[in-house]
Amino acid sequence: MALSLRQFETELAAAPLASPYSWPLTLAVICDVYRLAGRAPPPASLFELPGDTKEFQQQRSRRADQLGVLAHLLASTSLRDESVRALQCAAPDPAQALPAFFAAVEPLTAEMIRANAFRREELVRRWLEVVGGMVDGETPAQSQARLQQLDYRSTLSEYGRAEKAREAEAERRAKLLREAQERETAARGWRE
Amino acid sequence: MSIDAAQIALAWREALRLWDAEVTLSAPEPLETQGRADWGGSEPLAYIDLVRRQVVVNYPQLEKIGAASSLTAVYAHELGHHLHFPHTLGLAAALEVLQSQLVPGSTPLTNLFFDLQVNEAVGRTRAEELCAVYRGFACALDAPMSPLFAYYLAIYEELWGRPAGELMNAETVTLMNEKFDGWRADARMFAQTFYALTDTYLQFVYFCSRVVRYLPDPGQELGKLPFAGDVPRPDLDDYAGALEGNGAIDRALEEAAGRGWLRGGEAQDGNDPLQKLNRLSGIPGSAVLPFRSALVSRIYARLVERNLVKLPATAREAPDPFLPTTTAEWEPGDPLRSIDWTQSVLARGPLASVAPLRRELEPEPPSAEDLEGVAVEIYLDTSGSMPAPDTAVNVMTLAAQILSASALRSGGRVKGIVYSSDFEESEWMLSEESAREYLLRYSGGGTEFPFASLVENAQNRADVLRVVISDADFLANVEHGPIDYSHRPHKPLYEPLPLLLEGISRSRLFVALLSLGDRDASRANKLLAPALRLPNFRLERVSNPGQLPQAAARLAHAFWGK
Repeated sequence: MALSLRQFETELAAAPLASPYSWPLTLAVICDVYRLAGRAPPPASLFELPGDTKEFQQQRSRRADQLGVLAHLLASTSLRDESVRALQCAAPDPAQALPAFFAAVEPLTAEMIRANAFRREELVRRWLEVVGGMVDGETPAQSQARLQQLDYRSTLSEYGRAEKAREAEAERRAKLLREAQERETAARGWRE
Repeated sequence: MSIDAAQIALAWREALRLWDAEVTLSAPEPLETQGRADWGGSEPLAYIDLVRRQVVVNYPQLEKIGAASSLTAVYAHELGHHLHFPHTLGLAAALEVLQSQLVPGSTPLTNLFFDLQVNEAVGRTRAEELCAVYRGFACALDAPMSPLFAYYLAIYEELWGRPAGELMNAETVTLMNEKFDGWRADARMFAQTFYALTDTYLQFVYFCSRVVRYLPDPGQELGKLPFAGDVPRPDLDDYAGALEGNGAIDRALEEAAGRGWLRGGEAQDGNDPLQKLNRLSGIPGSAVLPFRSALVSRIYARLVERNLVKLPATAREAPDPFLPTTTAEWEPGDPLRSIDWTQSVLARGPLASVAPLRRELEPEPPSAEDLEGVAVEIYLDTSGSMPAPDTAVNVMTLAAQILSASALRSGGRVKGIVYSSDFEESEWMLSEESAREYLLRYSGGGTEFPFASLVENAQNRADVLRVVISDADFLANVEHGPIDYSHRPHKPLYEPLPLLLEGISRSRLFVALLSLGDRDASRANKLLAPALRLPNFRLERVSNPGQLPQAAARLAHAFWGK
């Protein structure tokens, strides 16, 4: 049975995240999904980020947050059942699927996932890609189209262009407003 | 195919079920049964009249755009406005005021904003029907689609997971791509951010910050949009409340600035309700000036209430108007009951029905014996040192309003003497509203206290409390008096101090409520020394003009607080 997004949201609403998951607990919850499906869990090295620079530390912290939320979703909703079911049928190679997953969800923060249903849906769909799961009522093509629509990373890059243009247009609008105000003031002075 | 009664009844039931609401609303009416004045002359697809709680739908137009099967969604959309978005017109007014701060010079966008909220809820189950309405409307446009409408439709395409460009034609997409770089990603980001926000004010700030890019130049119309104007406009009280602002709006602005949605300057704004009013461009109705004046009056009324230390009593009930006054032309928009048909027929003959005459009624003023309270004359300085009261809060005007409201509530009467280079004097006023309106007069010229008028008034009535509200200019007036410029060297026209002393001695009490700096304080003591020796003179000094309303409130409390 595929994952029902509506049921998923209902289950999640009933199980709010009380405190962040620790790193060992996060890994344990994710690896348990593989174990329940009778598969060997991915090696811990696949989840780790090497390096000690400030940038790496930030990335590591963000990944810990993202996976912490994912662990919560797995532990408290039917996402785990669908993941287990999918892994039992066919298990994509985690060595390939997980890095792609991390790259795709890289810009998502834990707060975004918690507060924004679209970002949450994106994370869930990306995870279903990792385990080969499906969304209820959708063909693979529809799921792919929806995922493209939800792709925050690509939206962000295109959105950057919109933001740049917005700045220039805002300047232009402010100038027009100033001119209109000046015209109005001049006209009022003449009337008075 | 035409929509029949059975379809209407079924769609109406389903729309009510969609909102899971038990509301007592009459069944929807077709547009053609409504008068043109009722829907503002344009041809709406549907609207809800919140006064009559009546949904009205333009069935022929719905059929023309090929969306007859979307009837349930259309009803549900209108019901959504009634039940949740905006829920109260006070919120609509607050958002309009906020918009004037964020997007000055634009026509109100609140209807569009509420439509986004309603359609998300309706679209959870009836997105296809709403798409049919928008698609049909877009096809029926007789002019190129506006960028705002295209962006707006793209948001729905993203929200409902429709293919890009499904709700608009290819030319529009091409034009948008050429003119607005990254607009599609903008719409996608909007849909995925806007609906995740839980605070309405924050949603609105975000909405304004995004759509501003697609708006026409300041002063131009938005262009045709379906469901535009289907929410009624707020009334005077809604606007007056909204202009005061509230903490939730400030928090939303702060958060929006923190998220980078606002450019510098939009979030920082004074809390002066009059300055907000000046920016408000979408005041409803054709009678903008009377509406604005009434609104200014309401703002001061609220400020007076806030500044009164203790309300002596509730406002006196205005007597019912019954004294007939002269007639004037009746104009569309005037109350029908104000038409004097007898006089209209006598004056106009057969043309009476085409051009009737209106006769206003006035209340009979109560006789002096019926009044228990004290009579107060307020001499209000309206020189250019203070702002015009309808552009920013004029604290002198506000102080006068506080005194006037307090006196009237204690059963007294008020006369206003508004002076600058010249002066105007009112009749004795008994209602708060007339006093408030009179004291909102402003000249903005020099300052010449009307000593002659003071003496004349004092000679006519001695049992009057006289209050002058001014600043150091009053001292200059007492020192030099009006100057006769026709002679060289210039000479004062008369000695003002004796006139002032006569005015004081013939008053029940004379209070000079003056804003004086420290240097002027000692000058006042010296200049007004003869007056200070009189038992019925009081000098109330505040060190800056902002303290005048509080000082007026303290005075009012001392006079009428018990």
